[in-house]
Amino acid sequence: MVDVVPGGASKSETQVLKEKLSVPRICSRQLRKRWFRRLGLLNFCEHTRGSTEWNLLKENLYRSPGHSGWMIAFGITFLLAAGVTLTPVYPEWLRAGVMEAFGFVCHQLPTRSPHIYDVQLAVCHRCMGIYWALPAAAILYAFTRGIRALEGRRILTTVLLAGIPAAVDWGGDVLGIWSNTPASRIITGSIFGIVAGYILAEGISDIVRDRKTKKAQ
Amino acid sequence: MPSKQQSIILGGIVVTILSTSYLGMINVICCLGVLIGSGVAVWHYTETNELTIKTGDGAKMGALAAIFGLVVASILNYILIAVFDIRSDQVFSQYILNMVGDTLPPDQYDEMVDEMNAPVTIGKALQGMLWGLLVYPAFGAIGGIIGAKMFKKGGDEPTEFDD
Repeated sequence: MVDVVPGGASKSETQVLKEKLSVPRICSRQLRKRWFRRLGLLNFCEHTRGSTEWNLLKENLYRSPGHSGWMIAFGITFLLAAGVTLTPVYPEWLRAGVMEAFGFVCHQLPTRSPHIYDVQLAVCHRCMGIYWALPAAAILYAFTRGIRALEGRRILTTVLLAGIPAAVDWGGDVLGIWSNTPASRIITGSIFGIVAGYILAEGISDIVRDRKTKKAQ
Repeated sequence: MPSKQQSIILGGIVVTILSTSYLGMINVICCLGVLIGSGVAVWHYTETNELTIKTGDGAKMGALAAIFGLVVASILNYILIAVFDIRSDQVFSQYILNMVGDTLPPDQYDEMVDEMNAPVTIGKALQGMLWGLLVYPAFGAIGGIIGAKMFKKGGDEPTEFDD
């Protein structure tokens, strides 16, 4: 229903006129907001209790059909990260098996791998950064789902961009420009891991949503 | 829904190639060979049939392509080692020893040398393949999910089929 204002014009028309006449002025805050919105981060930043966004966030977290997807993604990735980190406490046969399994995906160089109580973990520093970033990304996904940079064909670009810091860190060391450190390897690995984990969480959520929709039908 | 078999086999062949002998070292970078192979499976399927698939289907396709690739690559690797004596694993271990051998404790160094020179038996190859089954399907599923999100030839929404 449209409310009538003095002069006969409807409110909505007045608003349209005002919008047409006003000169758009973008302050830095608005510009920042625009970029945040593009990245999908505003969904998270602008929530206030009771607002539509707040209800949407609640729906995303635990009410929508695919809400448990991020929890499942978190559970799986957390187990994976814990699995590679707890190598020192495993019995010898299991430790050998886990080392062999992760030998497929990691060089496991002793000098470039973390140790706990002098026992080498199953993956190198960079991989460790990736594995621990995966569950963190699942939590991030729960709050900020729908980041546009991770939709459609943009995914490949985003994944490649996320891999650049690790590639630069590794390349600089190989070429002798600088020596990378365990911290630099973990950080650059976790940048890649956040993006990969986000996509994974989104994919698992889609699977859960599809299954629930099918069941409901 | 059109059959996925051909695309899975194609992706599996890519995984096989990128997991055999020296080329297998590409998998040291976050299982890149498996990610590429499973992505190829999804790409071929969506491109051939002009459709968009659900991420769940992409994950399944990727995991199956990875398992196919792992099994065939394990057989090929065993044949290359047993028949042709091409020991890519020895070369990699030697590279590690050359790089970090000085910093290793003597017992760990000896252990690596023993392991490097140990003959590869069918049992050992089978054991390696079984442990690989823990990791390959997981990375294949990730590649399939990324593929399903990237290659949408039938519009943004997954193509619906009457079952």
